[in-house]
Amino acid sequence: MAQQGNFKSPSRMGGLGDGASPSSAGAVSAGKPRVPGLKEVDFERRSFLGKIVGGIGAAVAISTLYPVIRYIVPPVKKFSNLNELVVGKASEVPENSGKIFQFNKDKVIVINDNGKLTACSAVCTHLGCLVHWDNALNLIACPCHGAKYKQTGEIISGPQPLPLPAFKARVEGENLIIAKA
Amino acid sequence: MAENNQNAMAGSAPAKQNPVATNGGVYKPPVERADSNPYGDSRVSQVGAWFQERFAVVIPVIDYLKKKEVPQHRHSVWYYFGGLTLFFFVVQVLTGLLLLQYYKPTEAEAFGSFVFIQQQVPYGWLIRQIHAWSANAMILMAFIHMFSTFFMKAYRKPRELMWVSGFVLFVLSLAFGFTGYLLPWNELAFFATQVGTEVPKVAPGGAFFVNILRGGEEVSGETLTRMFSMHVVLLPGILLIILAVHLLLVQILGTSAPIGYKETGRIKGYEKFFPTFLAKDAVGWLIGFAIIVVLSIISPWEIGVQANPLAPAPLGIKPEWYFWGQFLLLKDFSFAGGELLAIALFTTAAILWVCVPFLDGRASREEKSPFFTLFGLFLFIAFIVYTFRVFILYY
Repeated sequence: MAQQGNFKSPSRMGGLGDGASPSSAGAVSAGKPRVPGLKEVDFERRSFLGKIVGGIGAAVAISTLYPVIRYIVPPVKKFSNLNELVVGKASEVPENSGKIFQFNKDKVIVINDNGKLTACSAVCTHLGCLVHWDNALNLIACPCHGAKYKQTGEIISGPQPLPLPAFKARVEGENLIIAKA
Repeated sequence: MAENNQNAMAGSAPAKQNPVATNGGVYKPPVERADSNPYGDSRVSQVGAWFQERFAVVIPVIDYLKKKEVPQHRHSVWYYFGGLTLFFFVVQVLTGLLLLQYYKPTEAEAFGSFVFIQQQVPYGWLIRQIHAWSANAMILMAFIHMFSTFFMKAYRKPRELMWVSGFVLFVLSLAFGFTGYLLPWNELAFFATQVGTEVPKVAPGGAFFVNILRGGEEVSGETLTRMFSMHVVLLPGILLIILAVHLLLVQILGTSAPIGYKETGRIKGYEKFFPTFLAKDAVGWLIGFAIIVVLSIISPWEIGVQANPLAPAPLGIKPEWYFWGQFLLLKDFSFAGGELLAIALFTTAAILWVCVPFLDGRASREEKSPFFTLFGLFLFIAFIVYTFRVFILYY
């Protein structure tokens, strides 16, 4: 408001009625009666200015938010994509037990059932808990919501929608190797 | 404030002649301020008077706060639970700040620092146990507060926004519980977060959201950092704003009395919130504090085993009691598309729940609305039954 002395045509501002503030208007000799309505205000120009301000605001907001959103979305992790991998020693999976290994981007459970080695994904297809080998029942079980799978990953019972994807496991010398199915 | 008011008046009154105007400058008359202590009131100390002179604008605010009254009737006891929720929240802020002094939110150090707090830091075990117990107490109090306001229909006009803000606070409390649960970085925490963050995936667009929440495709050290930042920065910030709105509304609209109580003379009286009710509140807080300290000592939360992304989920894993309903429903709905249905059911119930003040027109007209009482009773009983079933299944 203090800027209004700089306007080229101060009379236009008079149309704003009580919007203009006489106490800071400098040399006003007498009070101005209130003008009812805003007939001198150019609404077209005002709405145009509104659109400009809104447009610039939107542009600033988008150009600020874009990098923020890109920042929050985590960058994709790179995994190796090997056909087979030595994940450890064969002795790590003694008879009648199971152990989980990282293979590329998958977590794979290797099960040693009386010397017979099988491998399948260890990630329960229900809600992603890691399964374990239940030797007493001779099946793969998920403790979270009670999903049960056969040793090969096929569904026995439970809430899971899909079987566990299969992998291959074998022993060469002392090494335990996991391979794609 | 006074200056603006003078401006508003100036249009109708002749502008003052002033000494500067002739020189071309802008003149503003000096602001007249009221004497802070015009009668030399002896109850105001010198320091108090000093502040009042500079910050006189708060005097009417304080006078306004003093006007709040709490109705007394046979259900008055329920009025204490909102204050108790707030008290346990304050305990959480203070103990959380203390835990922050030693906790390290990284995959390598989180569990170690958590054990360090429990075993090495003097009274570290106590601070952690109080934080864990008070979290549960806060959620329990919020449950009781929510259901008691529901059954007393305190949400009815004009208090709709109190209900909505209260519901947002409740959801934020659950989010606090969920994000804080991972921070010890033990096996239980790891798989609770795994399941909790897996659930939204079945909804359309859920995978993108889960990716952001986890900081990657899987629950990992990135997830820990994100949960930590939410738990100590984002959620407290949002909660404080909503809490301010909630408390301001309580102050403005006052305490609700059950429908028909005023008309049938069942209100025995009103007591001043400040200091009478607050003093009684404080007694409740002391009792609540004593209970969580005792629980912290006689029934401590376990330390557990450090999370290992290649270890199977521990047997008998289950979430905290306030998620048992959701947990068991997910387990019950074992048919194809069951998860989506369970989530849809919860979302619908939550939306209905938050919209209740706008749906319950009868209560807003100060009439009894038995249908909504039944709806609340149904949700309450379902919650109790499911919680009890988990208790039977796992203990």
